This record gives sequence, structure tokens and C-alpha cells, in this order.
Amino acid sequence: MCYYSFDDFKTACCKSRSSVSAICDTLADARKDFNIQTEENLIGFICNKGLSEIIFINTTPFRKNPKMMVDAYSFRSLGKYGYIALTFSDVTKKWLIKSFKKHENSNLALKYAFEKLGISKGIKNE
Amino acid sequence: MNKILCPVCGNEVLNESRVFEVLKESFGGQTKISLRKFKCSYCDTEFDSALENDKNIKVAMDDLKMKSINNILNDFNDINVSMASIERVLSIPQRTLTKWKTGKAKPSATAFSLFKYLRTFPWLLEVAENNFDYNIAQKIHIGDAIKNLLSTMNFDSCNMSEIGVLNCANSTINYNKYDLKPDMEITSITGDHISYSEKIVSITPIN
Repeated sequence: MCYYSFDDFKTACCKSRSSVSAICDTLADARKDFNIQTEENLIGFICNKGLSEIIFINTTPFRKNPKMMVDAYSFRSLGKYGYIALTFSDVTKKWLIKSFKKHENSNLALKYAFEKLGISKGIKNE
Repeated sequence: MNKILCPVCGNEVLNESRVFEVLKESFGGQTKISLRKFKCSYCDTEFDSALENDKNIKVAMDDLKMKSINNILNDFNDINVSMASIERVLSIPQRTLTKWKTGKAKPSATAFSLFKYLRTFPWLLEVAENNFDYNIAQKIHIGDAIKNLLSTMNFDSCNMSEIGVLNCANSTINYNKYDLKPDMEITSITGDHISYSEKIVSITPIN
């Protein structure tokens, strides 16, 4: 089960740009994989329902700060499958996009079916 | 000016660095830009100076888009598609095209996308010329695909196992496949026309 509400994150993207930040290599990956050039474009894209077929993958502790949890989701945008990881900082009260890139495994339906059966484990993107 | 803080832990002691990234635009080439990055000295999180970088990226991308539209219009000129004909079929004034070409005006995002499509598929201009008639558009599309296919084939070395004829009639497109007889020989191909030698004895329709 996800740690944060994705809807809350999306609402924050629509409400105030300053309450959402992209960290790590998120923006470089968004430029490379999705032709989304700026942080403003990325936040706008999420707000304007750019992500479809959003599927929760897992929740893991944030490596830089293990008190924080990171929710990972897969999504689809036209013909591309993507991966988004997000967290929330209680200190700065900001939503943080930790990752936004092309999903390594495009055959998600099969992958999740195998995972449910316990045959395949782990998502490489984290 | 707002103080930059780590978005994760709020720490204000940050290590600043610059990284170079290459931005690309279809038909406009690429450019290298310098981006401002920070690394938090407390939690090690890396992040961009988003507002400043966004501004620089927008400027660089606008520049690439202008190069792109200029290259696209030059490419049309190279394949003998004049600005006057573009004006005629798309109703985009020639002076607007000239302004884009000389950098005096910037095309809208919509116009820019349209021109990237036209550069990728120049036959779309022919579709526009035929008032976007669906059946004619299909024939133009297939005709262009066949032309491209023929230009990539080496008929001297290809071992052709079948031969067919495309036939367009009554809004339908038929492909008639024929058996290729061993005594049949292609002697020359000029544009869309294929000539055969006298060795052809017979061809039998199989479909």
C-alpha cells in the first residue's frame, strides 16, 4: 500500500509550483526520456493529467534520509511507459519528485502478473 | 532574493557545481548548456537551481526552434517546394514564413509542430492540396511509401521471390500478386516504371 496519497501530490502540483521540487537526476531524465524540458513543464504535465494508467509499485525508505519513505509508480504517456518516485519532506513541507524516467520494463502487465505469483521480484528502477 | 535551501532537509549549506547538458531539437541540431546544481552538505541530496535553469533552458530551446524552422524552410527550398506553394495550400502568408526564416518572428508551438510533420512527410502538402480528401490521401501515402521502398531496393542483387501490382480503383486498393517465372527478367527501372526483357513468357495471377 502506498505511503502518501498520489491525489494529494497531484493537487500540490496544480496548486503551487513552489510546493513541489524535482531532486536528484529527475529533470535530466525527464528531458532525455519524455522531452519535458523544465521543472515547470514537468509539474504542469503531472497537474494536467499527463500520466495515465498509474500503478503503484512499492514503498521504500529514502536512501538519503531513511525516515522518509518513497512511493514508486509506473505510468503510461501515449506509447511510453514511465516510472515516477515521490516523497514528502516534513521539514520543508515540500513534495519531492525523486525520479521521473522511462520504465525499464515496458511489458508491465506480464511483469506484475509474475510478481503476484511470486515468480519475479524487485523493480530495477529504484 | 530567496535563499536556496535543500528541499529535503532545509539545510542552507550547499555545495554548488555546474554541469553541462546537451539539448536537442528535431531539425535544429543541438546545443550545450551549463546548468547550476547543488548538493546538500548535510543529507547529500542533489538538486537543480530550477528557476534559473528553467530560464536558461527556455532561451536555448527557443534558439534551437528558430534554427529548426529555418532548416525546415531551407529543406523545402532544396526539394523545390516554394514558400508560394506552401502559402497556396496551407494559407500561411509568405511574409509570415519569411519572418520565421529570417528570425524576425517566432512560429507558434502549433505551427512549429505542423512544420516538423511536413518536413518528415512532405507528401502531406500534396494531401492538403487535394483538400484533405481521405481516399486521395491514402493513395498519396502509399505511393510515397512504394517510391521510398523502390529507391532502397537493388534489383540487380535482390533475389525477388514475388512481384505484385498495386491497383487503385473505386476507393479500394488491391495488391495483385504474381508468380515470378524463372525466365522473367527486369531490365531497367526508371522512376516508377519497371521494364522487362523479352524473356517473359507468362505471368499467372495467384490471388
